[in-house]
Amino acid sequence: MHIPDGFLSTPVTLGTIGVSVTALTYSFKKVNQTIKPEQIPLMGLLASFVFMIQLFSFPIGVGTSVHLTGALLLSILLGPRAGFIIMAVSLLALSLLFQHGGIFSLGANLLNMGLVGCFVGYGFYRLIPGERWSLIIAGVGSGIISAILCALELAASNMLEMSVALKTMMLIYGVTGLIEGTITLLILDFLRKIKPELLDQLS
Amino acid sequence: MVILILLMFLATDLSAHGVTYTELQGGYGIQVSYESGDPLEFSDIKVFQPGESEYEFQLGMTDQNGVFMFKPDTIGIWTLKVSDGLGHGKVIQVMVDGSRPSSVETPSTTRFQKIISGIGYILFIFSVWYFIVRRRQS
Repeated sequence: MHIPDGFLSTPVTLGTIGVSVTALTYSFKKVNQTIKPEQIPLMGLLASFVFMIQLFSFPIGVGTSVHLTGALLLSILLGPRAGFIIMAVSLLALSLLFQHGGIFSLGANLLNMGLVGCFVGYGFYRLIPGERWSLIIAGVGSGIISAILCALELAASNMLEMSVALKTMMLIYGVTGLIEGTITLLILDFLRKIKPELLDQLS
Repeated sequence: MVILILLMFLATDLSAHGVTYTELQGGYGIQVSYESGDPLEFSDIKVFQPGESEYEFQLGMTDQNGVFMFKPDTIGIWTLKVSDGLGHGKVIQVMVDGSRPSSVETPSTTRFQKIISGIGYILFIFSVWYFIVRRRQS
């Protein structure tokens, strides 16, 4: 879902940059007021982790490859605002070094993966009772909403046919979200077993 | 006589529907793959002539191996937009100067070097933030 430069029209590029920069400014102001200094190195480590997992895509058997975003895990460990900041730094590094998403399309990528992944995913997680189901639904729900946004942006830029792409994208990113939710659940279970106090420190 | 002339014109029209072909040599080919090495199979490609960004010169699709070929008809930098229809893709620029076309992009660093650099930049950004917050709180 890392949209490269040259795919989006100017209005879509400017609109998505506007939304993402506004959300990033708001998140940074809020987090910067309340953050403890010892949490920042952990944010750096998690940003490096997210940077790494987004680099490795895996085939899902229908002639395409997908990757995890890590946004759901970040928002549960640190809250959606801090998670969104981490996603912004990681996506910037991916864009500058790997052209994994463009510089000008960073706004769209941050909106699709960061804003939806962190805030919508966290919303599902908090609203739905029962951790296991809430994580699965959060992963699938945020994946599908990201797919809808991505399809809208590309269709508005005349890069694909909305009617053709939407179903495929929703299916592929729904499945990816299912994997993301499951892996997030496994990581949280693992952290609870080996270092439960870490979760309390982070939250 | 008039009927004969009309029939001749009709025959010309009919023969105009025939299709012939000429075999071509050369052209420019690309193979597109994900970083995992899997090909972008049956992915849409739009080809734009130099200086053109709105109207495509050619619309095409990669084959099952992620391969696509086209034949440029003018010199300059051509643009190819490859999309797998899921938001992943690549904009490729090809220099055509009368000799063999070549990609404008030349990778200079390895994937491992880029990963190390990326982690370095990320940790640097958070280190700067850490020291600012520490100074503010002390």
